[in-house]
Order: sequence, then C-alpha cells, then structure tokens
Amino acid sequence: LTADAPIPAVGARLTAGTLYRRVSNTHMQWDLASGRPTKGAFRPDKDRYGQLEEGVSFFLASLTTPEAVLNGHDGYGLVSVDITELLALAKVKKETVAVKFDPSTDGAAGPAHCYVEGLYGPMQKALAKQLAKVVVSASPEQASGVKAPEQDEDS
Amino acid sequence: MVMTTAEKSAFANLVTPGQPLFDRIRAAFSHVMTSRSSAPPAVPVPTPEEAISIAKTYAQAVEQIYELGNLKPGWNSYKAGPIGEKAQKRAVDFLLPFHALVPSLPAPAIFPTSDGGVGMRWRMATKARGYLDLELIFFDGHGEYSFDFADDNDLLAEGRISDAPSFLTDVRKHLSPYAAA
Repeated sequence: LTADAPIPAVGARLTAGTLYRRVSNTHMQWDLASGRPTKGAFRPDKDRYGQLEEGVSFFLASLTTPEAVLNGHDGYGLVSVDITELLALAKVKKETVAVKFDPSTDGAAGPAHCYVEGLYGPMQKALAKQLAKVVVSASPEQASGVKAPEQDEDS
Repeated sequence: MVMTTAEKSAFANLVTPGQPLFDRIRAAFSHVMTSRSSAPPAVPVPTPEEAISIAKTYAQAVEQIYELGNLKPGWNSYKAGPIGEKAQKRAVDFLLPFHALVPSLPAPAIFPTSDGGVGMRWRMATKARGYLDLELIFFDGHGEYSFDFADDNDLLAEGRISDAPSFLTDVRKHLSPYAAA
C-alpha cells in the first residue's frame, strides 16, 4: 500500500482518484484486435447463490498496485479508470453511477476494493471504448487456464 | 484462479469463437437490413454443402452453450457463479428456430457472462463504419440484445428478446439505415 494515501471510510462515495480493474484474457472480455476490454468486462457478477451484485469490482489505485491486482492472474489485462471522468460521462448519458469504497480481505488488492454501481449497457460500452485506459494488455497466450482465441473474423 | 486440465480443456472449447464466414453473415443479414417493404423479405438459401457446414456450426454452438454449465464459481476471477440452466435452455430455444429463419447465417460465438447469462455474438464487417456487433444475452428469466459499431463510443440499440421472429424484426428496424454501409 502507498504509505501516505488517505484511506476512505468504508462505504464512502468516491468522486476522484483512479480505479484499476483486471480483465481476463478471454474473447468475451478482451478484444485482441483492438487491444482493449469488451463491454463484457464491466458486467456485475451473479454469485454462486444467485445474488446479483449491486456493483462491479474495481480497486482504488492509491491503495494498491497493478502487481497486487494481477497477483495470481497471469495473462490477464489491467485497465485504469479516472473516477471524475467516469462520473462526468455518466451524467452526460443520464446514467446513475456511484463509486463506493468497499475494502475486503480477498486477495492482495482486497483492502483497495471498490464497487462501481450503475454500470448498465451504455456505460459498459463507454468504458470499453473510451473510459478505460489499458495499463497492462491481456496476453493472447494461454494463462491461468484461459486462452484468448483469435478474433472471430480472423479465425 | 487455478483450473484443472479438464476445466482448461472445457474452457478452451467454449471460448472458441464462431466460424469465419463473415461475408456470408453479411449476406445472410442483408435481406433483413435492406428490405423496406411490408412484404416478407426473401431469405438467402445456402447450397446443400453450405447448409451442412452451417448446421455443424449450430451443433457446435449448442454444445458450447451446455458446456458453460461446467464453469466453477469464480471463473471470471471475481465472484461470478454458475451459468443458469434456464438461461442455457432459453439460449438453445432461441438459437435453433433462429437458424431455421436465417439458414445461411453461421452460428454466433458463444460466451458466458459474469451475471449468469449465455452470450452470443455475431460480428460483421461494414464498408463505412467498421465492425458491427450483434450481441444477445440470455438469462434465466429473459433475453437482451444490443447492437453497436466497434469503433463507436455508444450503443446503437438495445432491447429485450421475446422470440426469434421478433428479434429479426428488431434487427430490421435498427439496421435498415445502415444497409448500404
């Protein structure tokens, strides 16, 4: 962790800062042709009990590192998202988006965990195409048991 | 996340995209995209050889849909659970009648979604605006579609899927302006 980074209160709504999200190197989450994540990389999880999560998991960059987010996920990509830009674009699109600090004990980056709520179709597309900046490209080679195949049109 | 060899094999199979027949995809959808009359558009008829080849892609797609049931909780490195059985059935129940409606169209790429759905995607090249993606996702309770150009920042359209014929009507409605592209 960054020693001097302020730690938000649990549940606090964040309006500035940078978020990380790791993205698997599968064709449903990473477009090898463009070298960018797909819309599918920003969908919420429905857990093993059938509970749909209210938000999509990200990690607050000031409290973690790219290495910690990718720890144990060789081959995965990593993207960053500026919170201010995210909220501004959501406002333009009339989408209700919130970033909430939700630290956990899951994994090396767990203490930096955040949920981003309100990411529906238009915001998923905006993240994939515009908002998310690629920090680490996903590997086309098989990693963590998951292989990103060649693009549909080229296969 | 560590996968067993069997899981790796299952995953590698299920993430294999659809067939490389995108000129035919464009041709298969073109009748839907170009017809502006109220009369039913003419449906391109594949040759017998093409029909067999395309039918195989649908058989493979159905197999991939059911293989999604092998995914273990956490398969996306976060908290994604299993893919719903009803979602799988809903996807198959859509796909086969859809194939009958548009017999010259190869099967879509199949993929799981982190919210328990079965995804399908057709990607086709357009002359003017690059690749157009038609994406469908089936959940236990309903189905959704979205259309977007790969290079655009916004979705072109999104909506609910009731059945294959209604979906084709929606394709026609949303994509007719781009028929010449």
